[in-house]
This record gives sequence, structure tokens and C-alpha cells, in this order.
Amino acid sequence: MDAESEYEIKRARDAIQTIETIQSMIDVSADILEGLRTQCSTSAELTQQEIRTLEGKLVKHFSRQLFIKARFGEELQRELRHVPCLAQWLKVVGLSLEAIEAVCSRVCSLEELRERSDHELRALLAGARDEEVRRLCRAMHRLTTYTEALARGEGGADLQLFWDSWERHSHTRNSPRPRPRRVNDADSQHSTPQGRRGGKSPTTPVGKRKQNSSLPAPAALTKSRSHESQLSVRPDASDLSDNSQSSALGGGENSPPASPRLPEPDSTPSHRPHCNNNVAAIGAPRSPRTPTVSRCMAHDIAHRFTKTFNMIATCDYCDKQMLFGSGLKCKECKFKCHRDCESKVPPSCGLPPEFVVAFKETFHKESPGSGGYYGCASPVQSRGGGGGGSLTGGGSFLASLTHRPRWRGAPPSHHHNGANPSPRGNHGPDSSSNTSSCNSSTPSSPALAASTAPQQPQQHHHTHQHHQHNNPLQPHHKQQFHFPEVKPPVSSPNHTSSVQSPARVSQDSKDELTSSVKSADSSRCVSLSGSGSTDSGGPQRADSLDRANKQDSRWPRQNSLSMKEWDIPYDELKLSEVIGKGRFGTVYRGSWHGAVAVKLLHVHSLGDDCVPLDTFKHEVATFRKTRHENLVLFMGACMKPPRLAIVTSLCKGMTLYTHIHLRKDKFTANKSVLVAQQISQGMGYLHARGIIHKDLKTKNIFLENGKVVITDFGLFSVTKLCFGNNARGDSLGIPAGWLCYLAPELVRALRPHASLHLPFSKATDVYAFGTVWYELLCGEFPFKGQPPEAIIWQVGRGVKQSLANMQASRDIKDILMLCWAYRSSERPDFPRLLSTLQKLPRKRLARSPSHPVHLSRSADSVF
Amino acid sequence: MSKMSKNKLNLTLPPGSIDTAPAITPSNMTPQLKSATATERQGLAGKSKTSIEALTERLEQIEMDDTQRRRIEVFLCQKEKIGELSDDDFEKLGELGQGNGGVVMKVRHKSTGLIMARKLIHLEVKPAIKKQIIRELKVLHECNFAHIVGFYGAFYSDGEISICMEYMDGGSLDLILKKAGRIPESILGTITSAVLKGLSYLRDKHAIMHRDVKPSNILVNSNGEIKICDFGVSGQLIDSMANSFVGTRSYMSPERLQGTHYSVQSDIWSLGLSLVEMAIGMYPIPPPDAKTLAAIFGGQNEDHSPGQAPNSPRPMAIFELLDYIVNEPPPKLPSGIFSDEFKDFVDRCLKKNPDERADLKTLMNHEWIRKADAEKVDIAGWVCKTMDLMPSTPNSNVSPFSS
Repeated sequence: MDAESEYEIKRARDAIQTIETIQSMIDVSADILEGLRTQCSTSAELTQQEIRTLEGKLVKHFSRQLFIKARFGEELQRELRHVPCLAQWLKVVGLSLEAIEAVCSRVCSLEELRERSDHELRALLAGARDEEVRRLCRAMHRLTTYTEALARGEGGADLQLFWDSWERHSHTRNSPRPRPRRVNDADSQHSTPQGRRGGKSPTTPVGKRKQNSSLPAPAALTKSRSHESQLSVRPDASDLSDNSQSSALGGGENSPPASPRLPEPDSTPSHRPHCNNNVAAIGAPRSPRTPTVSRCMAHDIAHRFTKTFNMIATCDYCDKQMLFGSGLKCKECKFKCHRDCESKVPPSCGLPPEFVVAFKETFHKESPGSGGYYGCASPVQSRGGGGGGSLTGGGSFLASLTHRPRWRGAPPSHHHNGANPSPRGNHGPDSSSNTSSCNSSTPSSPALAASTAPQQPQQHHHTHQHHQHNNPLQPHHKQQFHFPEVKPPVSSPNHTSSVQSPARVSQDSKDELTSSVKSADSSRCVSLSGSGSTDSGGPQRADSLDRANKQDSRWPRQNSLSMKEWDIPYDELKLSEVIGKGRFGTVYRGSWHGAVAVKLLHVHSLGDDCVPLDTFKHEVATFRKTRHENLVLFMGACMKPPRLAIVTSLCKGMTLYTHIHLRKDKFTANKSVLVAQQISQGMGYLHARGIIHKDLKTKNIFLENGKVVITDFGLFSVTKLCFGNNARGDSLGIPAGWLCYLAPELVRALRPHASLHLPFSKATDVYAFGTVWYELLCGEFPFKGQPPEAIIWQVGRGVKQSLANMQASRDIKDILMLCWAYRSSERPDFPRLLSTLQKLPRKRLARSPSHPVHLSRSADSVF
Repeated sequence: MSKMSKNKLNLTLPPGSIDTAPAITPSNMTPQLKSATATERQGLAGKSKTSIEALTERLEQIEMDDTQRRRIEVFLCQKEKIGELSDDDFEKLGELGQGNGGVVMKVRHKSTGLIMARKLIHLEVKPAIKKQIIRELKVLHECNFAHIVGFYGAFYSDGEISICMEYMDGGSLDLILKKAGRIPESILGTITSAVLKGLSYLRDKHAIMHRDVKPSNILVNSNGEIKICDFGVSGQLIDSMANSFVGTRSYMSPERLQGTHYSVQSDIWSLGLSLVEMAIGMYPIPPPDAKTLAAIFGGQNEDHSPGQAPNSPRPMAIFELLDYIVNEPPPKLPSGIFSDEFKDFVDRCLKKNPDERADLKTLMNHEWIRKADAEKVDIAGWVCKTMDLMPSTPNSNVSPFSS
């Protein structure tokens, strides 16, 4: 009996402890969530992803609290009545303070709130914004779902637990992706046809997004495959049917589809069976080796557009200026265009500019009044297989994507339907091929692709013939670029090698067959090798294709892909000697495909559910965006705790710190200026990328034969992951030589307790740069020899290191004073600093003593 | 040995010799400098001879009573047996606390059985710098005084500088304060007297200023001895320390915070602030309001349960705290609870203008101190009672089994 009650008590105690632990995790997550909502740009995909992850976690935590609590008797429950905290939950949900108050005044616990129906919730929130109501309903629903899952003893692993609590702005378009993805996809599929019927372009944000993003990419790879699969499957097209819509590229027949983004050249006599183009599409462009049947080769390679930011350029399509963030850029050939122009851009990836121009011209000419061609363009038909209506749905979806106001005049749907059915019937499956994840999210089954591969040759052959037959029907197909016959083979990097001389065209089918095999292969190779240079590897593209199956929205897919890319398995790293120790970790010389620097973070006890870890990943994700001569090359990271490491290129040379403070090297004024210029350049780039260094100091700046390399950017917040946070009990550990880089606003925010939330900004980086500049000039730290407290007070009060004894020109001192301006708004930005530095009169500097260092070497200058 | 401003002219000089000079009136300056060099010369000579005679001879010159002198002689005898120290000589007994920049371990010196306090300071510096630090620390060998913690030696091993000191079983005053809540005025008087003597010994004989006077740097033992430790002898050590800690309390004088020149007078501010803290049982910045004081001294003023925690700490940013020290009126003792002499003593220490602040000599002649000297306070008894120690015989630490 006793033992039993003891056990009970122990159980209760454990449970309470668990609840408390969960509470602390909630606190942390809620904080971060709040920060993400308020301090980050919520339109950024990463932020949204982070928010979702946190939402999911918080739902789990709250559910777990509810669940644990529910298992106990009333007495205990009463004791725990404030857990989970209702107000906190509401805040997490994303309600305004007033709304929270309103709810709390009427409901006293989360359990009670949970009992309310959506309708009641709505009533509770009377007066609140719709968005808030939506959030609450959604979040409550998630909570209930997960709690139930817990009760059933399931992990609920695949539940979607987020509710998207960021502020949305009217332009949904930017808010990428799919909220509830599945739903969306489904929606879009359904909705599109309708849209189409209505003659409107039903571009749902989703659809659009799809178009924009990587889809085209996989297409390239796939093409050959689709091709294969096509053949094999052909006999019973229906199987494939759902994959199909896609396929623009692959489409044996309707190559044009490739182009959701192509305006259909209406005039084309529509015969979609432009087989010959198709052939070209299939074989030629990618792997020109394929003997083309037709006299002219066609070029039909879809661009792989990705969004670009920070780019001012002119649209290669309409020649008008593009603004920041409004453009797309093809990953392969760097073709740039407006998002709005995307649909009109021919699948001219890899075409040399002259060709593009020619292409464009034909296009422009043909397009007016088109529409006729429309049907062909849509891959749908091909997939029709049985010509079944449902299938068409998918097709029309695609078509709808393609469909732009511009062509609205033509009633495409009719055309579409009328489009000659037979090819559809025959070839439908082909085109459907896996290919096309690019045009639609339709699933393509990888397995299928694989299995069909061997049959390819035959298939190809078949198609080929088909094309030939069709060919006559279709005089020309505007969607593709037909190479002017006279011209030599196109030299796009991807296919140069395989371009074949036209002579081949006449070869017999047997030859064709073999060559087509080759072509298929080669195209694969090509895409592989090509991908090496771009971000996503060929294999990954392939598997992203496979994954398309899941109908997952593109975004997360891309994301996971990128994570994968930057995640370096710890085992692959070979560490040799320690080359440095920082606040956050130890830096090793290592090797990973060559010499690298590996910064192993000192990680202590990470809970299994660790928010800092997410922060780490988040930050790491931002580093990969950096490519600049004066920044260390970020190569990847180990993301599996406790093995957290950052892998960068290995900096040769020594840090500025070593030069200045250990070796006491003297920097001439000219050299100082050169170094400072490079630092400004690197920092300016970093800032343009939206990354704040947070720890700019001479220890983080390397000098490699006169070239500056800045390291360790953005890592500061990782401290939270690391041991002790440098704080111990009620005091704050201040690493030597750190304080004098801190701007007044940071210094004033220092607190003795852990959890430093310092208001870093671009301006604080500029302040730190000022200190680096001072070190370069004087060979010592400002406030040298003063205790930390004294530095804190002086900097916090706006007292600056006296420059009275520093014999440098007024201009040089002015730069210092500007960077050290008390008010952050008065500090210049790096571009301005750079231009100021560039304007420094060289000659005068050269004349002034070449060792500025002696100027204020003595500490007397301090007084 | 922590915060101190860098020896401006030459780090390798016995630290403090120059810095402290201005502390003393200009007329003192020359003798001061001379005495510093003299000290050094003597020190070197003494060391080379390693003879106790040289040291004891110098002890004669110093004002100590017989007991104190005898204790120091015993200490020096013990020390003589030890010789050069190294990592292998020690057996860890436990951790005594976190000092500024390092951890302090209680250790046993294996061959002699002596109990020592070993402060480990993590340093990653070049050998030359290490040597310089060890050399600078040697000054400590010369600091033999009743109110200065004895020094056994310093060495470098494995990335850490070890400083081996006399073990004080009563611990530091901040620990005692935590246990006792407050320290009675009479005890404080005796402590202050000892600290003043220690400070003037450092200044007069070694031209060193402490730079870090605070409760945690004042140690006591069950013999009733009061000693100061952790004074800034090695400028290089301070410069080389990787981390410094800034906490919820600062004892730094306004003039130091402002980066202006400072002197021994700065130590006096720190002493004054420490005294207020120990007297009222809480760090006095920002000053406690009437209610808090009432809660602390409930017995005397209002009815408040004395046990109630008087803490109403709104957390202050470090800067706010420091700015308070610089810009707000200095803290003082609440009236009606302490003797007027004590109050006056503290007020004289806590003048924001260092020139208005009383100097060491004045303070040593202060009425409160004279009163404390006259009155024989049983520090040993108080320490033992507070820290639950067995009253011990002098030199208890000879026995490896003590405490």
C-alpha cells in the first residue's frame, strides 16, 4: 500500500517536473516565435519555415502538458490549473493583446477553451481581426488533433501542426508557397479546370509559384527519362496518366508544353503533333546527338528560373528595367526576366543570345492572334491517354498555368479539346512521363521511371517514327527555336559536345535508335555534370523529381534539399590540429575534399528539442548565400548535435590581431587603408545580403597576402548553444578585447545574467569596424589597459578613446569618429565608408610617417 | 590580482611602482620610487640567498605584534621546505570558489602535507609572457605581513598559471556575509583596521596598490587573522587574462570608471563601499529604500520579520549600475543604526572626488579605527561561530588533517 502511494507521489512529482520542463521549453520557443514574428521579415521563406516549425513544436508542448495533466486526479489538476498557461498559448497563437485579454476574461483555462467550437471561438473574439480568428481556430484545431494523437499513443509525426501565425500582407504572391500544402495542391487541381472554363487564368498563388520555381529544372534531366518511360508505358497509358500532365518537355508530342511560359504562337497550325519538334525537344537540345529527323533542329530547353534578389538588371525578354526582387534568373544560362515575362520566355535555355533574339522575334511575330496552338501546348492532351475527362483536369491545370491574359482572347479550351485527339491517345502517356515535375506538381513515380528505362531505345524509336509522321502536319512550331540551318551547332555548355552534324539526320532508324540511347545517356550525364556547377546536384534533381510525388509544395522540398546540401556528415571530416580557439568553439585544420577549417562548437546539454539548434540551422542557412572575395567561403556544417560544426575554407595567413597585437607589425597608412577598404567591401556585401556580422574584430579578419578575409560572421548568436554563455552565476564573462568593439547601444544592454539579447545591427558592425580601423592605425586597442567596467561606462556614456595623441590626418580621424558615433543613425554604412576610404589622399598618407603606430603607442594617449 | 590599469610606462617594472606614485603627495614621490627599487633589490638579494634571515631582518622593521611576527616566521619556515612547486606536488581537496579569472582549489602539498589554496588562471600565452608573469608574481614572496595572505609560489602548467597561497579556513568575507546576513559593526571595525594596515603595507613597502578591494578579497581564518589577497602585482597577468567577469556589483571608484587617472585613493572608495555592503547586508547600489532598510533592520525600526528577504532587485543593466556610481550621490550608512564614527568613516571613504576622500593615513587615525583597535574583538570566535569551524590553534594548517 505504502509503496503504491509512494509510487503515486513519485509519479506525480515526475509529472510535475516534466510539465515544468516542458514549460521552460515553451517559454523559449514562444520567445523565439515572438522574435521571428516581430523582428524578422515574415515574408522570407526561411522565417516562415521557422515559424511553422516553432508552431508545431509549441503545439506539441502544450498538448503534452494537457495530456500529462489530464492523467492526474483533480487535486493535482487544481494545483496545476495554471498550466498550461492560457495567455501564453494565446500569445503563441498570435492574438493581439486585447484579444488575449478578452479571451482570458471569459475563459479560464486552455482546457476550457479547447472545448469551444469554432463558432464559439469566433464569438469570443468578436471584434478581433479575421486573421486572429482564423489563427485561433486553426491553432486550437491543431492542439486538439495532437492531443488526441497523444492520447491514442501515436506520435502524430506526420500531422501538420502549424497555423501560420505571421502577418500576411496583401500580396500573397510573395508568401511563397502553400500553406496547407496538400490542400492546396488539391485545390489547384480542382480549381484550375474551372478557371479555365471561365476563360480566366486561374493562377492561384500556388500555381504561380510553381511555375516560378525550380520545376523547370528537373525537367531537363527528366526529359530523357520521360522519354523512356513514355515508350514503355505507352501501351497502357492510363497508368501513367496522373503523372502526366506535366511533361511538357518530355512530351513526345507536344513539346511545346514545355512552356508554360511560352506564349503559344497561335498561328501555328496547331498541329500539336509537331513531332519533329518534339524530337528535337527530346533529343536535340539536350543531347543534340539525337539524330533529328526534321531538317532543322529545334531548341527547346526550359529555363530553370529561380528568384533573384538584389539584382538590378534589364529583362532579357522585354528589355525593360527590373527592380529588386522582381526578377527571375535562369540558373543555367543566366537568362533574366521579369516574373511577369516568364511565361512568355521561350524555352531557350542555353541558346546563345543571337539565337534568342531570333527566337524572340519569331515569337513576337507569331503570337498575336494565336490561340490556335494553345491546345497543343498543353501537355494534357498527351496524357489524356484514354482521353478521359479527369485527366484533362490535370492538363488544363497546366494549361491554366500557361494561360496568360494575353491569350485570353482565344478560347483555348475548345481548342484544346478539339486538338487532335489521336496523338493524345497515342502519345499521351509518353509525354506524361515523369518528367515534368516541372510543369506541375503532379506526382511522377520514380519507380516507374526506373523500370522503364531499359525499354527506352525501342520507345524512342517509336516516338521518333511517330514524329516523322507527324512532322508534315506541322510546318513549324514556334515554341521552339529552330536553329537556322546554316549555323553551326549550338554551343550551350550543356550540349555542345553532343551536337551532331545535320548529316546524321538522315541516318536510318537503327542508327537513330542507338544514338538516341546515347542521347538519353548523354543528356543525363550532361545534366549531372552541369549540376555540379550549380547548386543542386544532378542526382538531387532526380530525386527531387521523385519526391514530387508527395505533392509537397516546392518550398520545403527545396529547403530540405538545401539543408542536405550543406549538411556535412561529421564522419566525413578529418580533423587535424587545433588552429584556434574562439568563444564558441575550437577551430581545427581539417580536410573535407581539400583543406578546410572546421569550427567545432562547444555544445553542452542540448535538449532533444532545442530551439537554439534551430537558430543555428537557420543561421547556417544564411551563410550559404555568401560569396565574396573578402569573406571566408562557407562550405557547410554538421548539423547533428552534439556534433555541431561549421566548415569553411581554410584561411591562410594570420589574423589582423596576430599582426597587430602579437607580432606588433606596423601597418603603414596606405596599407591600413587598403585593408580597411577590403573590410568595408566584404562587410558591405554581407550587409547587402542582410547578414549582420555581430562579431567583427581583428581576430576574425585574416590577411592572406594582402587580401582580407573576414570570418565568423553571424555566429554570435550561436553562443546560446555554447557552454555557459560566458556567464557564470550573476556575472557576465567578458572576453579580452571584446568590449571595445561594442557600440554604445550594445554596451548599455549588457546584463550580468545569461541570455544576452544584444541589439546588433548593421550600425553596430560599423562601430566595430571603427575599432578595427583604430587598431590598424595605432597598433593597440582603444581604452587600452582599462578595466571592463570603465570601458562599459565610458562607451555607454559616449566617451571615446582620445585621438589627441594620434598623429593621423584629419580625414582618418574623421572616419574613426564617424564609425564611433554615439548615435547609430549617424554612423555611415559600409558603401559610404568605402568611398570615403577610397577618397583618402594617398599621397599625403604616403608622406606622413609610415608607421602611424608610433603615434599613440603609449598609453598616455589615453589620458 | 585582477583589474588594474596597465602600468603605463613599463610593464616589467614591479607593478604599481609608477602608478601609485601620484597617489602620494608630490613630496613623497621620490622616496616612494626609491623604496620601490630598494624593495626590488632587496627582494632579489633575499631570494638569491633564500635565507630566512634576510626576510626576518626585514620583518623587524615592520609593525607587527609578537604573535603576528611568530606566525610569519613559522610560515616562512614551512615555505622553506617546499622549494619549487609543480603540478605533481598537489592533491586536490576541493573547490574553494571562483575567483576573478580563475578557480581556487583547496589542495594538499603532498610532500609536506601543507594545505594551500591554489588559484588556477587559464592562460594561453607565449612562453616569454609566462615567464614574465611568473617573474612579476615573485614580488609576492616579499609580501610577508600579518594582513597579507601568504604566498607559496607560482608556476605554469598545462595552460594555467597556478598561484599557491596560504589557505584561510574562514573563507572570504563575501561568503561569510552570505551566511551571516550582516556583519556587526565591531567586527567590521577590526576588519577595517586590518585591511588598512595591509593596504598601507603594500603601498609603503612595495609601492603596490590593491586595485580590487572587495569583500571576496578579504579572508579570515579560525585564528582570527584577517588578510587581504588578490592584489594587482602582475600587470602582465591582468593583460593576459582571457576573460574578466563583470557582475551585479562593482566596487570600482568613479574616477576609475571615468578612465581618468586613479591612485590608492581608489582602493579607499572600494573599501568604503564594501563596508556599507557588509554592514547592511546588501550591495548598496542602487541604495535600498526606506522600506527595504526597515525590513533589514526590522528590530530597530519597524515591525518586520527580520528573516524576510529585503531584496527588491530590479535587475539593472551593468551600464546603469556603473552610471549610478559615477553620477548619483554616493551610498551611505542608514542613520540611527550604526555609530556616528562608523558613519563618518564610511562617508569619508565614499567621496566621489578622490581628492576629498580621506587617505590611508587619515583613516588609520580615524576615531572609529582607534576605537576598534582599543577594543579587543574576538574575530576568531565570530569566524568559527559563523562558519561552523572548530576553533583552532595557530598554524593549524601544518596538520594535514585539520578542518
